[in-house]
Amino acid sequence: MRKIIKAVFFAALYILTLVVIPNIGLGYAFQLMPEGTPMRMFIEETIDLRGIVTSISIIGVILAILTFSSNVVEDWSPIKLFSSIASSFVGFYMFLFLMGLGNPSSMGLNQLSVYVATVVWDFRFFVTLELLLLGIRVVSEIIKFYFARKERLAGL
Amino acid sequence: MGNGKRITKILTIVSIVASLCVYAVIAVSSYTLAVSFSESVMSLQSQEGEELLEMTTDPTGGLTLTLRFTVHNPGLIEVSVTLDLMILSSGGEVITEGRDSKRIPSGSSDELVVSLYLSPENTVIFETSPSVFNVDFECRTLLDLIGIAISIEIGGEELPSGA
Repeated sequence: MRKIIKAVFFAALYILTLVVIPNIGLGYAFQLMPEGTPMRMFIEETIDLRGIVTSISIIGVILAILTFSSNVVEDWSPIKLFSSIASSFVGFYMFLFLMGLGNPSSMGLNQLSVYVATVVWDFRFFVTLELLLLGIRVVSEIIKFYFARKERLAGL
Repeated sequence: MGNGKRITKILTIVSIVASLCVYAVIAVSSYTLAVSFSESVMSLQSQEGEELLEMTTDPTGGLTLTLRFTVHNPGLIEVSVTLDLMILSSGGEVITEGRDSKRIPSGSSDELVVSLYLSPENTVIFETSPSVFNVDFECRTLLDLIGIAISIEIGGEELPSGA
């Protein structure tokens, strides 16, 4: 029962932070900037904000499912290993997606042209750090799984 | 506690601490970069043409153009700023170029000054044909590992009066 409550709580947390809040925020932002206003036109011309929020919501649902499945099973279950590793990779993809303002293939180096100006932001170091974290998480999950499995086999 | 459980606990702690450290670094450097860059660009925009670009003519007919603006760093860590100024002819050839770079500690400000000298021949080209001003401003932080740059091209516009 405790496991299920924990699984539901973490899944709900992902839904809240990545699905509910971004969609409400976008709706509120568009309410503040009605169609036709210069700010709204500028945003619509430069960034696909609606597309980004939709993608974040999809990622949020995937992360919620993966978190739920990894929390609901035992530590020795291969489902737990798969869900945890997959959720780390999805999290990394989301980081790339946010750093690239909707273009994960940019790997943290982006260019945005606005009228006569071109803005370039170089966040490749952050991507390297996140990649390092991904490695730590994956190795940590594998080792945790190994010991949980070993313990279970010893207890049989 | 078993050996496996202890290792698992250590791994969990290492993973959480590493994540927290990385996100703290990201937050501090992103904040510094965002405020320094936006304040500097706003300072550049708020200055009048005459106080931004100064022109002096020497007796031989050469022209010295000086672009100066103040860069602020209200962020939490040191930033390095670079200003590149280039004047191109209508054909795309570089007439003259200059650069200035400064390291600005947290909470202070400094002035970037770029002086461009135009020889008498280039001054004639500059004054008779529509030239293009290329201004590149870059702001980097976290040991220059991350940064934002803006490149503005101003072409065929009249020079600021009063020079």
